[in-house]
Amino acid sequence: METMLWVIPALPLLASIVTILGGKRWIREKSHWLPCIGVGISFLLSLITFFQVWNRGTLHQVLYSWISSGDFQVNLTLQVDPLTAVMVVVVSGVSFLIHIYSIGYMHGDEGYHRFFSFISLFTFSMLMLVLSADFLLLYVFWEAVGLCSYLLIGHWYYKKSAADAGKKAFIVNRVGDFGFGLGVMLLFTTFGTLDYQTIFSRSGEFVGKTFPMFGIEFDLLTLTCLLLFMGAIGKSAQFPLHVWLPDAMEGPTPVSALIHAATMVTAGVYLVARCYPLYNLAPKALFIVALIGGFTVFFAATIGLVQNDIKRVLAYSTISQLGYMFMALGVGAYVAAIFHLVTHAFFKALLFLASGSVIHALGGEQDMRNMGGLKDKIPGTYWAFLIGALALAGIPPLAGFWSKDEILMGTFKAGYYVLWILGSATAFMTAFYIFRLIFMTFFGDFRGRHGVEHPIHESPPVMLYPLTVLAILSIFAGWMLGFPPEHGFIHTFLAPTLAETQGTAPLPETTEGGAGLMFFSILVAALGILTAWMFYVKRPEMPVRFAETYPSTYDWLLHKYWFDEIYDTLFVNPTKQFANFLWQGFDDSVIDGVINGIARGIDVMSAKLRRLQSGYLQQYALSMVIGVIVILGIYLLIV
Amino acid sequence: MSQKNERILSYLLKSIKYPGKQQITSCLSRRDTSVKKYASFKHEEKDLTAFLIFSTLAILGALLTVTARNPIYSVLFLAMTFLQISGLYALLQAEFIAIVQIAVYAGAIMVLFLFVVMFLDVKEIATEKNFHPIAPVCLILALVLLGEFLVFIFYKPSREGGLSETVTAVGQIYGTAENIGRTLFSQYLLPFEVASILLLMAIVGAVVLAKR
Amino acid sequence: MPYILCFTVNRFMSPIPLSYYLVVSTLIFFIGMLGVLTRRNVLIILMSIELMLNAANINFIVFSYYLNSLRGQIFVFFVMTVAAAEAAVGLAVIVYLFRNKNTVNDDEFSLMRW
Repeated sequence: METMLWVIPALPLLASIVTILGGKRWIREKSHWLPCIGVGISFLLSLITFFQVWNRGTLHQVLYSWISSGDFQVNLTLQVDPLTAVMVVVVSGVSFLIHIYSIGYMHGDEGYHRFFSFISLFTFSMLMLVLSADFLLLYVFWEAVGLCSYLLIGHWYYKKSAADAGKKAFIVNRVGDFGFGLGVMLLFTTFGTLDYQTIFSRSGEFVGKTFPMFGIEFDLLTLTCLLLFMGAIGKSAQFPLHVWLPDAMEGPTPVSALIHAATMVTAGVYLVARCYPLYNLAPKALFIVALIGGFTVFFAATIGLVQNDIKRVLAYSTISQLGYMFMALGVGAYVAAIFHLVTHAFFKALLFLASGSVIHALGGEQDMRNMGGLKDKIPGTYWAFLIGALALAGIPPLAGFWSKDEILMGTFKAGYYVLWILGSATAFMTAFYIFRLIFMTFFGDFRGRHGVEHPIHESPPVMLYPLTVLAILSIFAGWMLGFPPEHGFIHTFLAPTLAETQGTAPLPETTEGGAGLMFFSILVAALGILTAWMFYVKRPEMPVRFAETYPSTYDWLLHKYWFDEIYDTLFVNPTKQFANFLWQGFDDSVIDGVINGIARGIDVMSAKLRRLQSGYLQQYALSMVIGVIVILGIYLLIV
Repeated sequence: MSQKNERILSYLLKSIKYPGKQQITSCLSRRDTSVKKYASFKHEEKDLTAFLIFSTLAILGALLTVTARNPIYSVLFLAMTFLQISGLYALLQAEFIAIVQIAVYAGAIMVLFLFVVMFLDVKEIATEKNFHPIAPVCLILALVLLGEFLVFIFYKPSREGGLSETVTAVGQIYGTAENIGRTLFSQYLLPFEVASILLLMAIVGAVVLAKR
Repeated sequence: MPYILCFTVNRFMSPIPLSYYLVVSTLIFFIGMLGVLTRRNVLIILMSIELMLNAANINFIVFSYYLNSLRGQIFVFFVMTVAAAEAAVGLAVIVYLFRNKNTVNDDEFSLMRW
């Protein structure tokens, strides 16, 4: 198995290539077969690998020497340590379920083969991202998943909003990836290699070293970590680069579930967790990670409170939950972060897929104001949604409770009380907005006009099976992996890679007060649900009154703190104007002018010169004679 | 007399003593008489006289060829030039080539020219202006090139030790029909055959062009 | 210049110097070249070309003589072959041109033009 690691990513890649090449003409509506089978086998192999890692420890496979240029050696190396093993299983598993789900959801779409090819390509890229054993390969596939994200957000490219959202996602990610790229280069100049093991084992030598930039001496490791974290901010949609994720909801819902909830956006978390030996040596960087995570948690949740688009609520929820993970990383609770990553992948994928089921049932309707009372019409979806919502809200014994509670506990113990307060407040808001969503969608009276035309129908089994599996995972994964808190399966499993070097940011080993904190967070969650029930079931007029009482606050939240507008005025419009200037002012006049001028000059000159081409042979002979005179003269003079 | 010339002359004299040349007998050979001592320079004198006559007439003929108004005269002067050149060949022990020169150039090609000149309307041509207006420019340029060539002939080799100084023994080779034939049919068989194909193509080409 | 002195003083002492022949061939070559450049009659241009070819031939023969090699003569033989072919085709072309334009004046032929 050790030498067969490459098969895991290779199968989705193969399926993707075959599907995209033959999909349009020959495979057509059977396009899902190859990707599903490929990813399915990948998932099985991932499970086998997982157990091997469990038994034997890290696996390593060098495929071949990719770049060998002087000192610069990059081998195409795959590596599976416990952290990677967890990621691989989550990625291939969730991806497999979403492949299955897409069969039903994308049925009849004209880009069917395209969709499956790209989503398979994404699976390949994401698997390679987590399997890679050096930063260069990580960077390459970091960009590759960004590309897949772009392609899939723009799946319905003829819709302007979708095409724009794709571009926005890509460009905003560039900002982060710029930093990431610089970070990788800095790593190379510092360590002379990009290999994980070498860098992490030698990172201790560079504590306290500085790096001059703009005339200021920066702490080398802190700078490196912050640059890498820039990439993570972009990819994981943290403040202030969060703006692309809500717009990315223009893509098909399975894409939102797979890429923008479960896997790709967690790549940033993976990156920071992967580089924890570096971050441990750079406490300032860790502090900033915690700060940005903590702020994003609260900030995104507040926006999520008032959104009306069902997928956007989930998108802000995702940003917020990713913020939890970064907060955990920042306070040194790495295992809790990865734990939350896993459980979040399950329940957020479940929520997205369930919302997709709702949208599917309503024929594309996404606005919650036009929903309501769907509980009896699509009961399967309702139950799935409810389980996901409870898991997200943090109600025990569902998955989200264990992981989120651990994060809050870690924050509290590490002494970041402000962050803990923010996190707890967000826990309340989380429960509120997700149950607001449930109550608006499934309770009350149906407010849309869709049902009149053709009856609302439950999704086909092929969509419900993945929901069921994810629902089961959302119920059980939490306590199976993480019980008892801080000593569960995932903790022991990840211990060899994550726990051993938490030297500089130690967590107190005591579980004192743990029960109290746990009880508190349950209370907060329950309170949130109750408030949502009050607002949207008991007295539906309350939210309106609330909005009227505090119109400015409501506006701020509804318009997402005006971030899009701020970025438009600060960055987008000046860039556009500059580009316009370059196009019309510079390219059209200067560049084109020079080129046309040269062409015209040559035209004029050749019109003159072609007179020489008189057609009289004797003139040609004369020119030959002149040539001979010149050449012979030169010969006589020089030699 | 400069030392340089002395050196060249001694070279040439040394070459005369080359062994084996005594056996070579030819009607055009003058070496056997002028060996060692300059006893009988009658041959030399005769050779030089012949050279002067041939070359003067050749140059004169060439000039008249180029300047003649009537193409018929041109052709005839050209034939004369070729005959003189043939004489030069004979002086240089290339008897076969000399004969071929007379047969092919002065004979066949000149007849062909004559034929074409007569075929075309000679009188009309004769009345026209013969030279281009740019002729003076051409003359100047040609003189410049001539000067360069003469510099090349007289100045360069003595400076570089080229041309004559590389000569060790002159006139050892006789271009008799036998010698030429031997070489042609052994060493140069393939070019010879290719030349035959060239002639064939020329015949076909000429026929095709002139037939229309 | 020394060579010319050599000619007057030592004319009975040696075979005719190489450069004499070279001068003759050069002169013939230049007369031929002038003919090509200045004459308007295509026939005479063709003849001038023959002159130039003969000048080259003289050089070949002279060097054959002075270098003791038959190669030069063989070469002349081939040059004559080519010259014969050239004269045949060239004259055919002239006949053809004359039929088309009714002139052998090369001012009238400027077909090799843009």
